[in-house]
Amino acid sequence: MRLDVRCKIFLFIIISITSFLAKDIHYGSAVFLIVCLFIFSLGQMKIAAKYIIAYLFVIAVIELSAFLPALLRSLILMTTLCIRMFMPLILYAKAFAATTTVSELITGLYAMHLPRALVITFAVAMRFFPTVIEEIRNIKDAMRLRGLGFSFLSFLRHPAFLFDGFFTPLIMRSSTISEELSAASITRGLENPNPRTAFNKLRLTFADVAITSIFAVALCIVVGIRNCL
Amino acid sequence: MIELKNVSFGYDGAGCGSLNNITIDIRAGECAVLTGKSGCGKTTVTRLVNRLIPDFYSGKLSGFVRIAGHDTSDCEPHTLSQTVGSVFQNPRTQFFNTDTDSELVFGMENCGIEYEEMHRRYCGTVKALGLSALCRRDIFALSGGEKQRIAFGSIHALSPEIYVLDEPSANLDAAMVEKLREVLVTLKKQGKTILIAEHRLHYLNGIADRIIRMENGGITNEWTGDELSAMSNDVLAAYGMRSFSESPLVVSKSVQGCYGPALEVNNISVAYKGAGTVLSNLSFSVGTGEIVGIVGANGFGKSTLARTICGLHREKNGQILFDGKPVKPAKRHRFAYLVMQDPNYQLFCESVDAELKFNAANEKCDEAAVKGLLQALDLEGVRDHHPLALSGGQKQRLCIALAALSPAKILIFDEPTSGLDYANMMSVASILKSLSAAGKTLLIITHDNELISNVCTRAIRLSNNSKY
Repeated sequence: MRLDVRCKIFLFIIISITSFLAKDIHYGSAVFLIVCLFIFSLGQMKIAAKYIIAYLFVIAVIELSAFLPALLRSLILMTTLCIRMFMPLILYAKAFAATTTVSELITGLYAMHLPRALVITFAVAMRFFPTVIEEIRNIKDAMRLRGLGFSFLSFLRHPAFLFDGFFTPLIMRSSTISEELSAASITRGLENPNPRTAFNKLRLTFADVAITSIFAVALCIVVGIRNCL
Repeated sequence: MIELKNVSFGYDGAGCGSLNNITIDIRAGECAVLTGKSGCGKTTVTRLVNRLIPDFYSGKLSGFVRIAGHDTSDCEPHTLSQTVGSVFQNPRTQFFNTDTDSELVFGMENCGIEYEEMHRRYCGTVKALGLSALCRRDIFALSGGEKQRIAFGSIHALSPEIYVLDEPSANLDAAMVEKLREVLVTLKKQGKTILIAEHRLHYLNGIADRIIRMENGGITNEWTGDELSAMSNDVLAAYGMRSFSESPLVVSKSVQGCYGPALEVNNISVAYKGAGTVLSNLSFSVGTGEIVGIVGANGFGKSTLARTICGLHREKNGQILFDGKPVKPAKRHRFAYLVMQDPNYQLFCESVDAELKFNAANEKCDEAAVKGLLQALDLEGVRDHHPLALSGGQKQRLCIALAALSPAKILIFDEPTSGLDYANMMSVASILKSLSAAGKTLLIITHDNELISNVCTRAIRLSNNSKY
């Protein structure tokens, strides 16, 4: 199923709010479940399945922590609370990125009459993560070639080298990339103040609105029940 | 079309790449090639034409620049974006989108081209440049050469009057360079003005109307295409220039001192998650002291092969043997070392000396050998410098020195001469020969026939997932 990018942005906001409002385990799980259903309907089964397994693991850890001493237990509960709260959001963000092209996002944000500076920031952020992942992979390769594997043992043996070897190239590469990337986008008119056109036209269909409303209402109901009961 | 009159420019805080009183006048429909040593100011000229100077790169500019009738000192940054199309050197940092289709239309969207017209031009570009196999792909999954073609396509779709290309062939294999040549011929027929900064000149024979040689920020020579093709390779070499005619792939060096295979690749198959099989049932062996070129089209697994031999990527099946013994991926880095194309990844210590000591610490190494190596690589004077403060060529040589010091007997080079002028190409060639004489076995991934003809004992071509 394809969904209009504006609906996805709207749901992103709703999910961010609800996953922070429904912190306790039952309501939080309900929010997570609804998000998973939505991701399934977007056709991103693989990502959703991975997160469901991870979520079940976190729940198991919480259940098992009942047998631990109180101090350790509260430590575990605090950590897992953070993980649980962010999981629906990260899952949604991943599926969002996987189903949306940068060009679609830019078109959508302009259609929502957001200021230019904000739109470009969003677009750059979407391109930033895959770039950093690619860079990190290359750096890890380079370190392994020099006998510096990313392991606990090598961390104990050469902590400083591991740190330098990772961050020095990352910072150097990042500054070059950002400079060259900006130069390339300027020559292609990114700063052109005239209205932009779109390769893929946005169409907000009745189905888009219906599906978005169903999921948004479901999420609001979960929060509503939690706060009223 | 492009008019530079008495232009001088100096980058803020850097001496390299500045220009000294340059005057160039390129008429509409002409193809001009800028050539010369790295750091001679070629790229600076291209930046003046696409107006990144003075908008993006600040510095002291004097003189007069007029592009397509616009005096660039008083126009907005975006005014030239539909007139001047630029393709840059580094394919990885010039795309803004994560999928190829969005990238192809990115410039058109920014310039507000109408919907129907945009789709028409998109289809036209895909057809003209043969990009249909690359449509609707994740850009991060493309090889360097493929990215370069997408970058060119996105400029082509804007249909600018002036094309500015900075080393467009640096990441392309022979077939793709031929394709690039065809595209340039078509553009010329359409009356476009083309400015190319380039070291590899052979593919421009018959296209280039003028070849401008630069040195230290000034223009030293200028030839017409006919004049240049009448010059012999020796004369060109004296000017520090690469051959203007296609050099055939010749490998006729006799192998000396070859004692049994140092590396055997036995029925190797490699697959990537999501990308399927890249190499299947590949076998070959390389003798000690050999220099073997690995050639083949973009995307046929040359880099994957290198990564597998070094243990950076696990093979699906097959074996890799060093000195006759099979070695597991996790231990291969002790036997094989890869010199990456971008030296910035492999340098991280606080001084050149520390870098050398770090590699030598893993293996006993005497001071005399280190000193000899540094002298041979012309790095003796910069021992106390920070590695990242070195020039591009020095960084590359330092990486080669680190490879030479590493315990690995097999050294793999990924495109060691991409973007190098004649003198630097020859100096890399002589370094490679001396490493081989010192008992190292070398594999060289390259598209550079001139380099292969100079140093390799043999070349292996990868095609269609298997060896030819």
